[in-house]
Amino acid sequence: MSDRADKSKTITKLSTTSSEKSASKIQAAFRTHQARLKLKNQAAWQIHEKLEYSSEQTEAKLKDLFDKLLKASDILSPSVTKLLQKAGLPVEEQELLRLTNPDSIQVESSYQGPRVDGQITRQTFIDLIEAFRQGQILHEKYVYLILHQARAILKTLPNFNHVDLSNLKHVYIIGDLHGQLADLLHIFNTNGLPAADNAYVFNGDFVDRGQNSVEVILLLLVALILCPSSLFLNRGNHEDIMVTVRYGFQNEVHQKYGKRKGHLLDLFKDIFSWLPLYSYVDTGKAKLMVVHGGISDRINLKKINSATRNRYISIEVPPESKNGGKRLTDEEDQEYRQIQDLFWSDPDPHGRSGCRKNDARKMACFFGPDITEQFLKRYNLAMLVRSHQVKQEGYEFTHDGKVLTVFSASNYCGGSNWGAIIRWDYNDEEPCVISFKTLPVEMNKLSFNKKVTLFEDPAYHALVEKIMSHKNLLRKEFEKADENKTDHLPLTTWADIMTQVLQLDLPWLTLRGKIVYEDSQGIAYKTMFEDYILDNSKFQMSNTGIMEDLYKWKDMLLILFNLIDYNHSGFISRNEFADVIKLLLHGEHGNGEVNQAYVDELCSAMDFDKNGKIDMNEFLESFRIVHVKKPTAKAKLSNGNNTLKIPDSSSRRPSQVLTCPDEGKVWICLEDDQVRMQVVEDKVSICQGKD
Amino acid sequence: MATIDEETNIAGEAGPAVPRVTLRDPVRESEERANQARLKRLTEAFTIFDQEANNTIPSTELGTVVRSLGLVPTEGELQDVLSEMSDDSNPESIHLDRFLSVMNVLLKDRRYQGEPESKILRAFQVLDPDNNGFISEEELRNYLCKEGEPFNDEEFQDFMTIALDDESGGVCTYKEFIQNLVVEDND
Repeated sequence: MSDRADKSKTITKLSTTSSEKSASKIQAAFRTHQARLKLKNQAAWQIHEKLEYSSEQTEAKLKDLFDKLLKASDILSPSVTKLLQKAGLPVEEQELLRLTNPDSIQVESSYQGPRVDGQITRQTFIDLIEAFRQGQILHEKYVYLILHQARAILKTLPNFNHVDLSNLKHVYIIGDLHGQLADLLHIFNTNGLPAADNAYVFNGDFVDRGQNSVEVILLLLVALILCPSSLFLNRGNHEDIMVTVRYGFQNEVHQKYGKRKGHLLDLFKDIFSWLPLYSYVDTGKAKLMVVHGGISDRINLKKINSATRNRYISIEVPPESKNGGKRLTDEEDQEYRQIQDLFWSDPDPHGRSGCRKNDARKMACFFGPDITEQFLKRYNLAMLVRSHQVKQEGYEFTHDGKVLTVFSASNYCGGSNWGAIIRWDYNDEEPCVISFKTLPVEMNKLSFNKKVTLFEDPAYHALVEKIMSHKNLLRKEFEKADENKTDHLPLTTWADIMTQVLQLDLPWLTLRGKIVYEDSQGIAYKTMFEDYILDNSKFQMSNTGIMEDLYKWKDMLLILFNLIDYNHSGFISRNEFADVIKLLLHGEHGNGEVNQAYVDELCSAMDFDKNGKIDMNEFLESFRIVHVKKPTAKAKLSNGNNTLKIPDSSSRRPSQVLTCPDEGKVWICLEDDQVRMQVVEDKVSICQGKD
Repeated sequence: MATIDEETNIAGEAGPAVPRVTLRDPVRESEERANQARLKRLTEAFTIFDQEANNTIPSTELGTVVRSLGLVPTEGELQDVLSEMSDDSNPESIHLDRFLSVMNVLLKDRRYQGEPESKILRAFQVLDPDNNGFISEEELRNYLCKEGEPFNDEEFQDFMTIALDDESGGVCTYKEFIQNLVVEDND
């Protein structure tokens, strides 16, 4: 007791000036510390964004490739051509329904999961929610049951949903969910389950990236079955078999449904093509259009409304022409481009007028405020509600309040953004925007510092991967610029080369401390490659150039593999692989000339077991960026102190797919964003977000 | 280092080629390069916080941007910087050009550099005169939320999250986390 009393006496004895000064020093130091953290976070966010866009460029490359395929199908064996084209073709209906008939599937007695027996009721819905919340997986028999019923409903719908608030009274509009079950459950928790008097519009991108794409889309389809007149689904650019092949949905189906996944994926593919293209909302005072991506100067709603929407199996790949030929007529092509615009366009990031090619995504458009104005006027609309882009607050008004972006996946890919939804009441002039965040319980306990690190690490890994796959070109440019052979470059020169070669406009000087060493002479550019090597021990070839080429094409190879391995055996034959490589090379050089020796060497190298088959898993496994040195701080030693700061390695949690990192090694799995970004726990609890 | 150009002679006449010597000034060159790097660095930091991509930031963000570059101004000093940069016709936001010209000078003159670790340690020790090695949350609140340039509630919460990071049971063993607070000299 007396101790305490002494202490309090001591406090009052301090002279005001010295404690004032001390407090000021601490406060100033802390405020700077926080600002630097914010910068780190924003920088990591930018990396993530720009890399995400640049990886989506593969979609455009794929489209080009398919165009070339049409022209050059003679260089490929007919079976491969057929297989690749099959992806863009609708599955024959009778066959599909027969292969996925739920009645022909037995449920094993050992199955402990949820059941959907007989009629799907509200109780079924609630039971499923509870089961999914606990991490259970629905038996495929019941998945087929749900999908069949949902498909039957979707087929009857017109190309757009008509949402009339004079009947429905209010509607919730939900943006991208991307398989984040926690966010969907939070939305239902706080705003009520969908019902005849509680309408919802889901604006696309239900799948990919998150861990529970299957559960999310199943819940939405069950909701559709229960209340078809108040539950509205819009298609998103990720409801597309070519996109799900790369961004996680296909993998998730593989993991959860094993051998039968082939037919399941076909069924999803078909269902995606039946999803309506947009929603038209009559709020009483105003009319809105809700569409996933955006608009352009060539959108003709009359044409869109009368299109045969299920021809567009994938928005990447042009459908076959109605006249049976492979090439689209002008009119068909116009329609096709409009569809692309609806799903892929963005408001112009610089607010420029007009409509221009979207060079972030390499397809569809950037549309300006004048385009929005014209469009809204033409169709007597008050506002365009769209999604497609993550926003820090979960939503964003642009074009003078005429465009509203809503994005509902909070902490997207391990980031720190809010999710948001919109509620519009009948006869209201404005919507209500509700923001929230859901976090796994563990994350809650982390300090801001640790959270930033968790998000930063995957972003920097992704960046390192990009750098490594352009090693040769970068080195060449560096050496060219280093005229005096000093092994150093001025800061701005180095930054310019990075931007140019990687085609990434990132704040390089801000990031440089994490990627390269420097000293008083400038940037020691050679050190950029020293800490990491592309492990090629599995490849028995000395030509590292080929290895790097394969590595650069890995995204394309993955897609093509998945398309060819249509029965999902995990293998493709060596000949099929050769064809794929030829197709890629043909794409690269534009002419018909392909170096056969090169192709042969590649095939030999890839055929690890020398049995004429290429194992996809082995292929994936064989690409690793290995961190050869133990991570050390790149900053200089702090003043007066001889201790180096080692980054806290306990903050790096291996995800369920990455194997546990060895000492000094960092594994990067090829499955892109889903794995790299998901560094959080996979069992998610629902936390109260801010409303 | 001198380079030799074969050009017209100084009088401008196209006479016989008289080699003209142009002197390169390495000091000037490296200053120029440092200046360019500084400007680029400043532009990057500004752009990162320029949400609308229109070359302006809201005045309220200036503190964050300036500090993110590693400067440690007090709130008072920040006000001075703000008044130098802001434009009377548009006081709510700051334009990139004004930002660059003011900040370039500040960086070059190495203004508002932070205190070294030893001084921060002493600052904490002033608040811990019995030299216990720790300070309680309540005491910290007394100082940091009432004296100097007081923290608001949110700032104090964030501060305590780091200060109590090491599970020391409700007190701040300040020596441990001072390293985090001190700016590294790598910009």
